[in-house]
Amino acid sequence: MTDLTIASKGFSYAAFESAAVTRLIDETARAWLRSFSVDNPQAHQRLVNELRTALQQDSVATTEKESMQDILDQAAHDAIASWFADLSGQNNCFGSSGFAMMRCAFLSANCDKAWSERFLDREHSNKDLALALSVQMMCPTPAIKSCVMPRQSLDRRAAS
Amino acid sequence: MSDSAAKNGVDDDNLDPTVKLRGPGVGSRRIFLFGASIFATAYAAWLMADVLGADQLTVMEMVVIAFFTINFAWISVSFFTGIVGIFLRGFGLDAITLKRLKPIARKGSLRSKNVVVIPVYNEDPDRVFAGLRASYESLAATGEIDAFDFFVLSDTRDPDIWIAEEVAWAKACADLKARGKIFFRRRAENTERKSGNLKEFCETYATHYDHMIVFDADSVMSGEAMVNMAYLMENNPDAGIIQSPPQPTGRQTLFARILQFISRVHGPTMSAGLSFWCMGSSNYWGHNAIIRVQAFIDCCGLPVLSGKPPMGGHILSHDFVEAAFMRKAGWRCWLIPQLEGSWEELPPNLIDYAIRDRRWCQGNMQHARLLFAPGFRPLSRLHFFMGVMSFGSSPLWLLLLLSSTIATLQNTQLTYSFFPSQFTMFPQWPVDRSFEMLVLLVFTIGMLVVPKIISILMVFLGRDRKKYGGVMVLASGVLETLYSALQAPIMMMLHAQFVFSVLTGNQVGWDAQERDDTGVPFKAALKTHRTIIVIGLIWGAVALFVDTAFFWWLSPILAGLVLAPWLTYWSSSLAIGRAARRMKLFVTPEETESPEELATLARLTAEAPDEDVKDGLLRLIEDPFANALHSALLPARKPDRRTQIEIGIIYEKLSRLGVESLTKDEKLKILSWPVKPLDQIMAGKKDENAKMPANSS
Repeated sequence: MTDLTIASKGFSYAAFESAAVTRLIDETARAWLRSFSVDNPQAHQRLVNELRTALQQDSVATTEKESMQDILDQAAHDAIASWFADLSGQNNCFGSSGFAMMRCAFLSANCDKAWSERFLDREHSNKDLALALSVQMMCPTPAIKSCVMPRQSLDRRAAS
Repeated sequence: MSDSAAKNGVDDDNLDPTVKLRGPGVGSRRIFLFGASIFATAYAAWLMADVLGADQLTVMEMVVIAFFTINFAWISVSFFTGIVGIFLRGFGLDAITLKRLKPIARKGSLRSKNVVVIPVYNEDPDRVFAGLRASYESLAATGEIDAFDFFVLSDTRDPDIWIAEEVAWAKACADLKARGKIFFRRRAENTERKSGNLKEFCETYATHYDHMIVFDADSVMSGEAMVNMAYLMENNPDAGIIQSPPQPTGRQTLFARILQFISRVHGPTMSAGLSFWCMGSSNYWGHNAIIRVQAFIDCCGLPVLSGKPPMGGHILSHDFVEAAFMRKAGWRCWLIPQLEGSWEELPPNLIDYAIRDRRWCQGNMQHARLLFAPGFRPLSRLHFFMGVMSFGSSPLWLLLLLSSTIATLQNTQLTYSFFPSQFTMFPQWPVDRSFEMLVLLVFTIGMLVVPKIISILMVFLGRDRKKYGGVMVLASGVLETLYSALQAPIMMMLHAQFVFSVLTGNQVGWDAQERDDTGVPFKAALKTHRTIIVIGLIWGAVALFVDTAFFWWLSPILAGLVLAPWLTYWSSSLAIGRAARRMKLFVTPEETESPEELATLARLTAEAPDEDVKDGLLRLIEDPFANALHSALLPARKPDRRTQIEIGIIYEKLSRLGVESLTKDEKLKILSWPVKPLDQIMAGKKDENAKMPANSS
C-alpha cells in the first residue's frame, strides 16, 4: 500500500508517514514559502505543521487529486488562504485572484523581510501586518458597471 | 435650461459663461472659405484651360485640366484655412468666439469624474508608463487629481511585453502612491483593434466616469490642459468631443525634427483656421481629446461595413466616424487651438512614417463608403472626403503629371498647321502662353507654400523667436521647404501605391508604431525605394526625349524620386538630427524651455533600463512578485479539460527543453492562466537529468 492510497483511504496518516513523504512535505513547504519570499525557520515549521495536520485530519478532498503533490499544494494554499482571511477579514482569499492579490500585498509589504517570521502565525495579534497589507493591496480595476454600446446603423431606414 | 443642459441634467445657472463655446457667423465663415476656394479654383482652371487651349485642346489636355482642377480645389481649401489661421494668430483672436484670446480662467474645482484611457498594443511599456507618470504628476500638481483616474487598456499580444506592462503598472501605482487611481486591464481577445478596445472599456468600466480623455501610447498632456478640457466639458453640456491639437515632440532624428519644427510653427495656424470654419462640427483625431462618456456609449458603437476588408469589415480609422456619429446625434465636436500642453510623438524616419500612412490609408479609404451614408451632417461628410483625399490626392497628382507628360509628348508629335482646313483670311499663328504658364505656376506654388512661409515669418518676427532658434528659424524654414519639396514626390508615389493596394483588395496588419530614434540602413532605404528610382529614371528619360524644357519643368519631382533612398537614409540619421540641434536648426520651444511634463518624461525614459523587455514567462517563473501580480490580474475562471491537457503538455516541454523552446503562442497559452513557480515546474524532473537551460535556472 503506497502513501498515496493510504491517504486517499483516510487512514491515520501520522503512523504511516515515510521518509519520502516527510521530504515531500518539507519541499512543498519550502516551495510555497519561496513563492512568498519567506525564508524563516518558524514560518517553515508552521507550514509543515499545517500540511501534516491537513493530511492527518484528512481534510483535503483527495478523490479529484492525482498525486500527493497536488494534495499538499491544495493544503498549503488553503492554509495560507485561511490565514489571510483571518488576517484581513476578507472572505475572497480562497479564489485564485483574491489569493494572488493577497500574495502580492504580502510580497510588497515584506520586501525587507520584516514580516517573514509572522507568516502563518495565528498566535500573534497581526493588526499591524493587516494594516501593512491593506496599504499594499493592488486594485487592478474598479467594479464592473456593465452596459451595452449599441452598434450604429448605416441603414437608411434606421437613420430616418 | 437649454436642451443640451437638460440632456445632461445640468442647470444653466451653474455654467461658466466665459468658457461657453459659441461664436458668430458660422454660416458666413463657411461661405467665405468655400466661396474663396471655389473662386480661386475656377480662376486656376480657367488659366490652365487658357494655357493648354491656346492652340487647340486635345483630349489628353482636357484630362489634365480635370485632374488639375480637382487637385487645385483641394489645395485651395487648405490655403484659405491657412490664411484665416494666420489672420487669427496675427491679431490674437480666438478662432471660435472671434474675441481677444484669453487663457481659460476656471471658477472652482472640477465637479465631474474623469478618466484618462491609454489603449496600448505591443508598445514599449517603459515609454507608455513614463508618459502616464509625467501626465499623472502634472495633474497632481494642479490639485485636481481626485477628479481623475487613469486606465491602461492593454491589447498586447506579445507575451514579454504583456508581463512587462503588468510590472510597470504595479511600479507606477507604488511609486506614485496611486493604488486605486491607476488601473490596468488586458483584453483576452483583441477584436476590432483600438475601437474594440475602447468599446470593451465603455461596456465594463466607463460609466464610472463623466468624461474620458483618450491618449495614444505616446501621448503626454499637462495637468492644466486636462483640467481645462474637463472644465470646458462641464460648462458646455452640448459638447460631445473636445479635441486638443497635439504637438509632435521628443524625437531627435533629422526627419522627425523637421516635422516637429514645421508642426510647431505652422500647425497652430492650420488648427486655428480649421477651428474657425468647422466650429462645433470639428473632427476627432483619435487621441489627446476628451469625450463625453454617455454620449459616446449611446451613439458611437461602430457599424461593421458590408463586404470584405480592406474596404469592408470593421472600421479601422474610427475617430472620424465616431465624430460623425456624435454630430449625427446632435452633440458638438470642438477643436480648441489654444489648448496647449498636448503632445505626441512622430515616427522617427520616412519608412516608419510611410508604414503608419499605409495603415491610415486603408482606414481612410473605407470612409469613401460612408460619404453618402444617410444621416450624417454635411461637414462630417466633408471630413470623410478630406480623409479620403489626404491619400486619394496623391494618385490624382500622379495622374496629372503623367497626363501632362503624355500631352506634351503628343504635342511634340504634331506638326503645326498655319492654315487649318476651313478657309481663313490669315494664317493661324502659334500663341505664346509662357507668361500665363508662369502665372499659373507661381499661383499654384503660392497656394502650397505661402501660408507656411507667413507662419515662419510670424515666428521670426515674434517675441518667441529665441524659442525656435533665433534667426536660424529662417534657415530652418528654407531647409524645411526644400526638404518637403523633395519628399513630396516620394510620398506621392508611396500614397498612390497604398491607394492602389487598398483598391485591389490588399490589407495591412496591425503593428505597433516604431517609437525609438531608429535610423534606416541605406540598403533598406534602397530596397524600399527601388521601384520609385526606376520610375523616376524612366520618367526623366522620357521627359528629356519629349522636350528639354519639360524635363526641367519636371526636375524637382524627378529629383525627389531619384534621390529617395539618400533622402530617407540621411534624414533618418540621429547624428545629423543632433547636429542640426546644435546649429539651432529645427528647434522647437519644447526643446529650448522644456515643459515640466516633457522633462519628467525624458528623465523617466533615461532611467529605464537600457535593454529589451525580458522574457516574460521566465520572469514569472523566477520572480514571486511578478508571478503573484500576473495571477492577480488574470480573470477568475477555470480551464476546461482540453486546455488543462494542452497547458500540461506545454509545461512538460518547458521543464525538459527550457523557455526558449516555447513558441509565442505556447507562451501566451500558459500565461493566460496562473503560472507555476519554478519548483513546481521542475517537480519530479530532478532525477531525469533534464535541467532548465543555464540562463533560465
